[in-house]
Amino acid sequence: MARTIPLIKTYGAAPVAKTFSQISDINTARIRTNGFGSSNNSVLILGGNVTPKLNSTEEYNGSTWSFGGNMNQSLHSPATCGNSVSDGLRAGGDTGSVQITSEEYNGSTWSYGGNTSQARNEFAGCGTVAAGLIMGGRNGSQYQNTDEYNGTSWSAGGNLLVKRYYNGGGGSQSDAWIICFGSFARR
Amino acid sequence: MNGTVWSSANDSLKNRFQHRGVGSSGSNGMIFDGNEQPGTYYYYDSEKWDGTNWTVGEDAIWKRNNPGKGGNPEDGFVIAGGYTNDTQPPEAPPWDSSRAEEYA
Repeated sequence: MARTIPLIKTYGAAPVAKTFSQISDINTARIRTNGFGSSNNSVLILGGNVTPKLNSTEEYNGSTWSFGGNMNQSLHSPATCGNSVSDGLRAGGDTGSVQITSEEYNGSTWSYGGNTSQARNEFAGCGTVAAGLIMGGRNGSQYQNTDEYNGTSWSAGGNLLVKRYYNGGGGSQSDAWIICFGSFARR
Repeated sequence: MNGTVWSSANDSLKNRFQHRGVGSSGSNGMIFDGNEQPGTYYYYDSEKWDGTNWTVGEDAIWKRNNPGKGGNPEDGFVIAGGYTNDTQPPEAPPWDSSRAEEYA
């Protein structure tokens, strides 16, 4: 006698919409700061413009903030690259003068990387240490150019469509976007 | 898109300055916070980029500009510090620049 096997249709769990929610305060108030990380459970923020300017960093592990390694320079308004708290960099920034330097972080220690093509602050970065990108910024005058990092040195990337600073951006070195004053450009 | 040339794309929904962005590719990202121009009130809203268009995102908790950030929209991200101000004109204290929030 033939048996009838019922068909059972299964569905994956519905995606949960993300929202913003408060987490514990950082240990040190910071303005004009920046950071990098892989997720809401693994983030590093750095520097900041208080008196005196900060070289400290803080790492968030999903529940608490703890201090990470100190940068070599105390500054604010750098750009950052990196998708991991143990493999990131900051470029430029303002120590009282606008900087051409970059520093790489390995999860505990900062070490100087290559110098960017020009001193800049108030700009955006994206990508990784091995393939980073910084975009625009200013040092008195505003910049249209970009720099690419290969883990050792910076070289010129393609120019933005217009000069931009105080911008936001994201993506990877070869697939990036930047936005400022509502005018958007994609690479 | 060849990795060397920038081209124009659709504008965001509002003018933003001193904001931040997160995203690990050119086809997925978010921007949040900032203000329209120096001296104007801060934003706390966000916008989402899908590679073609910007759409309204979720509202963050605090109005800020120039905060720290890390992570990406897919895996979640954190916003911390920056000028935070709920009711006062920007660039005027009191700030509480220790505040942090996550998108998850």
